[in-house]
Amino acid sequence: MLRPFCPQDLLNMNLTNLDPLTENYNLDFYMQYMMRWPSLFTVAEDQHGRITGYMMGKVEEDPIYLKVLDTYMPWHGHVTALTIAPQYRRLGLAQDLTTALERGCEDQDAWFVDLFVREGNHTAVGMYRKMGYSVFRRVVDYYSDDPTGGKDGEDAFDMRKPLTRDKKKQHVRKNGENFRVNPEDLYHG
Amino acid sequence: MARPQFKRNGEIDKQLEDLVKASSWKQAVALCERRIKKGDKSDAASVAKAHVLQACPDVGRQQQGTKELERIISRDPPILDIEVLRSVHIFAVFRKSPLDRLGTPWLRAAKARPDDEKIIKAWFETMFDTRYYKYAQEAAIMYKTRFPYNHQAHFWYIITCQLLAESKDSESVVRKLNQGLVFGNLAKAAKALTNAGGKLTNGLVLENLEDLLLLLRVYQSQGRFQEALDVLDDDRAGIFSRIGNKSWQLVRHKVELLELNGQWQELWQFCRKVLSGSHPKALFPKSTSTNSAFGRMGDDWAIWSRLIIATNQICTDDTFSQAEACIDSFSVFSRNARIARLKLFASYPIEDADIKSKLSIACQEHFTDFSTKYVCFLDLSPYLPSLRPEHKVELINTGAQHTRSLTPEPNDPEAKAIQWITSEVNLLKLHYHLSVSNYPSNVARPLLDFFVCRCLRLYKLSLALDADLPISERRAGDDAAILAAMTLIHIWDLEEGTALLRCVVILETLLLRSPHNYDALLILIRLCVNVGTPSLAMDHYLQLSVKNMQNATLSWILYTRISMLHPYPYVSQSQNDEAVTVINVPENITAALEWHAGAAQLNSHYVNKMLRDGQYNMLLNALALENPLRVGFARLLLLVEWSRIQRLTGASSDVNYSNFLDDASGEVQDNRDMKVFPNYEWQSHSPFGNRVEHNAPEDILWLSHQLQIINAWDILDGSEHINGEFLRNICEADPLSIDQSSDLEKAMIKILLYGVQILASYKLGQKPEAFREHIVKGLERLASFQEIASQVLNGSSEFLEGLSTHWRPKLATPNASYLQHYFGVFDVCHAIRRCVSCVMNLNEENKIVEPASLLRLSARLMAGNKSIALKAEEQASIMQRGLRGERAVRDTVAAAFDGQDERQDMIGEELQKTIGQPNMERIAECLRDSWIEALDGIVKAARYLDSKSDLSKAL
Repeated sequence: MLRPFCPQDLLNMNLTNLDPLTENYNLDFYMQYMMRWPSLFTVAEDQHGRITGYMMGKVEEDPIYLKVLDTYMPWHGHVTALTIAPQYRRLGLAQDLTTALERGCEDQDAWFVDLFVREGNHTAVGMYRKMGYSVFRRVVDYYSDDPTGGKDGEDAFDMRKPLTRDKKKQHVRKNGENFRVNPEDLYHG
Repeated sequence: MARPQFKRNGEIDKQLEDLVKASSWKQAVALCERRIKKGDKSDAASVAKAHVLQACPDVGRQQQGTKELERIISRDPPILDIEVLRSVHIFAVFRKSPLDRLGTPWLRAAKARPDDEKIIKAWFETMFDTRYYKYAQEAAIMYKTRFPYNHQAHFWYIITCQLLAESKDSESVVRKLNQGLVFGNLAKAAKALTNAGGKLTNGLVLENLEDLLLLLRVYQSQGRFQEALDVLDDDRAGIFSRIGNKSWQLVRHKVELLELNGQWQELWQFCRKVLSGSHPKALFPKSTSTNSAFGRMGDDWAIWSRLIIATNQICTDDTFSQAEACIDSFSVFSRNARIARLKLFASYPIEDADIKSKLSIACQEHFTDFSTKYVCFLDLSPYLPSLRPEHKVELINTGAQHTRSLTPEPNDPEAKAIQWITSEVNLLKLHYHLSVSNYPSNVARPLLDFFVCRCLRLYKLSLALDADLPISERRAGDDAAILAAMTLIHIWDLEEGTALLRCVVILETLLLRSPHNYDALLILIRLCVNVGTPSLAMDHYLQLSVKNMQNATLSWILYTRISMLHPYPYVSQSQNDEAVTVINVPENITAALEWHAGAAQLNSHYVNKMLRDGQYNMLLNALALENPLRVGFARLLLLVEWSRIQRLTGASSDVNYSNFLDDASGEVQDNRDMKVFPNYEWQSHSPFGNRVEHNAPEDILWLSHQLQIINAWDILDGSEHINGEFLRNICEADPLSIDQSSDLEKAMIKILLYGVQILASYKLGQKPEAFREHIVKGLERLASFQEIASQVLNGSSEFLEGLSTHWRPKLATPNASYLQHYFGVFDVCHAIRRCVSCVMNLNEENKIVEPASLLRLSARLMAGNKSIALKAEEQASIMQRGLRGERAVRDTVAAAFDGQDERQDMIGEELQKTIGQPNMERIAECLRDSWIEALDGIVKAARYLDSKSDLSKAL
């Protein structure tokens, strides 16, 4: 079942956070998300009350002075972290959590939801495609490390799904895999 | 609590801070006086001067400081500078000044400036930030009285009422009073909203979802379920209101409240409505009815579980069959519905053969439909105890039949083979749960041997699969190897032998292929500690990348008693001998302690921020995290280990954590995550996480003894001030309270207690004759404790003999208890040394005992320490020599593969087939190196003790 994240959950996130691809942030990171975007920080619990997955998201836009740039990001939802404990994968939990986030972003009148995923994480890329996301651009060498110790650096796919507000689908594109940008082209406000 | 920093114009006053840190009291006072003369914000400078005087070691100056502060606080006109008022408060809290005066300067300031909202808010915030809710409430009362249209003022008052109503420190009459106040105010806030056709009379009104959630939380905590339900059903404040905005949280509150209020019919109806709205048929075409307001979200376990509870409470044929039909209509697409079916039958309140049969069939069907998912066993496990014995057998049989039907043909795709392996693993989990975990009652040992072999065979088969699986994903067969290891732990519980070694071997092998399988890593870390290979445990701990919050929930896995296993830094070399990592235990513990200190502050910061942002419900949740961080078991455990490392190795750190001990006076919260371990044990048995804690499970009592040791050590070191109350307590300390500790720990506490009592008697002005006797008798008692330590050391060789007989051929290896005995003995010796030096220093100043006789007694004790150090070094070196070379590897391989007696060893044979000789030799080499490494620690610690055993150095 899904419910909003609460601070005590920080003591019970090991099933998800011991996964090598899940970033284990410091307390203030989780707290900031919980305070600023409470409706976009959702946990999944099993019938035993264990946290089996969670989704952290936010809504934001680039500063107005960047509007002239091609890379300008309008008001949109962003998936900051989505993780499912290894034992609970392939049950549709990721989809449930993503749907919850999309609903929250719809409520806040966002244009689209976007997320970054490692190019080599084929399972995740495939899953997002099934949920209606497509690659908008490739961010070259976005990930400088590989937590599993495989290689030195990796490209990120910036994937997007348009929401109801984007009726003309102006914030998605075809063949985004071939549209290359550098990490410094992104706004890191 | 750390000393507050001096501030000036909102910034840290570096000039004054430097002088105070350097204990340059005169210069610090002079600096303040210069500033006063210059007329530089005279209140701030005067208060700073008073605080500096209070901090002086000289009692006269301290009194002068207190008088000066009193004068400033009570002068007319009162202090109006918020920064100064805050500083007065924070220093008063630090000095533990009388609580009833905390609010006085603020009250006077607020009265002097009745329209100044800033002062009242700062007053409230200062009291709240330091968690003085009673005084915060006083500020809130004035705030809401002066500013009745301010929403924040009313809700700050409500929050303080709720905190006082919940506080264990409040008297029951105060709790009751505040319960009434918080309820009354929230009821008014809800009513104001309901009746707000006209103009609002004040700011006491629900404005948003957070306010509403606060109301529900308060009502629920006071058992006012019906009132809470009335609000939820209200058009202007409820679920479908503007502020409720169809929040799913409110729906969950509603079902919880209906359950708590025992409104079974209403609960049943409501759950049915929400569920029917989530059915795909109801969603297309899109319905506008309230039933489908929540859409797919309705298919939530919170709803399903309440539907089942209500059904079984109502317990009529009609509701039961309707619930069953509802479940059936969802069962094709909803896993929740499938689990709900199990719950419906398992929790049926009447013993009924038909229902039991239905449960049996539902379990079998669930296994058939979900056995290729990892979670299958987890879904079923809560309901297995409700099965009749014959149904358990049926479940295993049908499960086996189904799994056989999944057996892949040679040309089938790999996915099919993976599904079959997963199904087999789920079947093995059922076996383990229903029979293996009951060993030794009702289960014979050969069955366990057979089970382990079956697990290993399946694991071996799975090795050919999943070649392309991303490294972070779980491999289908990994759990089979883990089940084999878990079964061996059951065997080891009763028979010792090589079972533990075999567990280590199996898990090490698993990790070669699945280096990120944290189930295996967690178990292996504990096992490595148990088999006396702490450096291997550290290597695996590194693989877990424990950081941040895991310092509070997981670090115990490695750090429990690490100071008595491996207190020195360790150089870890990767397998290809290229990368070298230094694992510095003392530094890592220091970092973890730093994190704790920072996290407690951060959480506090966010609590205060939530208050200012009006996130009241969230604030109460965040406050619930404050204690686990401040007085969490892990934080105190790390402090214990850090202190013992300092005692045993002489390691030092610039940081002093003794202020953690002040926090520890509160109730210790055990935040160690035990649930993270995989668990397939039968429900009435202790969970598997506790099973790997073979070595003296540490509890809160143990922790309090260890904290006593640190406290006493600090006192003898002179780094802890002793107050009168503590002295009286320690003089009357009851040795019975330490009965649950080991002999060495008891000795340790008694030695330090003796030292502190000597100090206490001296400070309390005992007569010289009595004091003299106290010292002489005490030192003689120390000799008897030293004898205990010496005996433990002598016993180590016999202890070792006992260990090695379990292995065939014999191999002398240190295990955790063995290592702990040595370090325990060293700790006792250091405590004796500390007491001797303390007594000798006292006598040096006061000449109470004739110096020559004291010197004789002390010299004897120090010589005893020296002899223990030399003996320990010799023993550890002998064992190290025995382990060096290839023989130890050969013997370890033989112990893992050939077992311990002459009977046929199925497990050994299977292990040999699964692991292979080269792998086993590599693992044996790692174990050998780690044993030698651990013994190195004993040699180093023995040398350190030896170096400290000269009487001249003890002084």
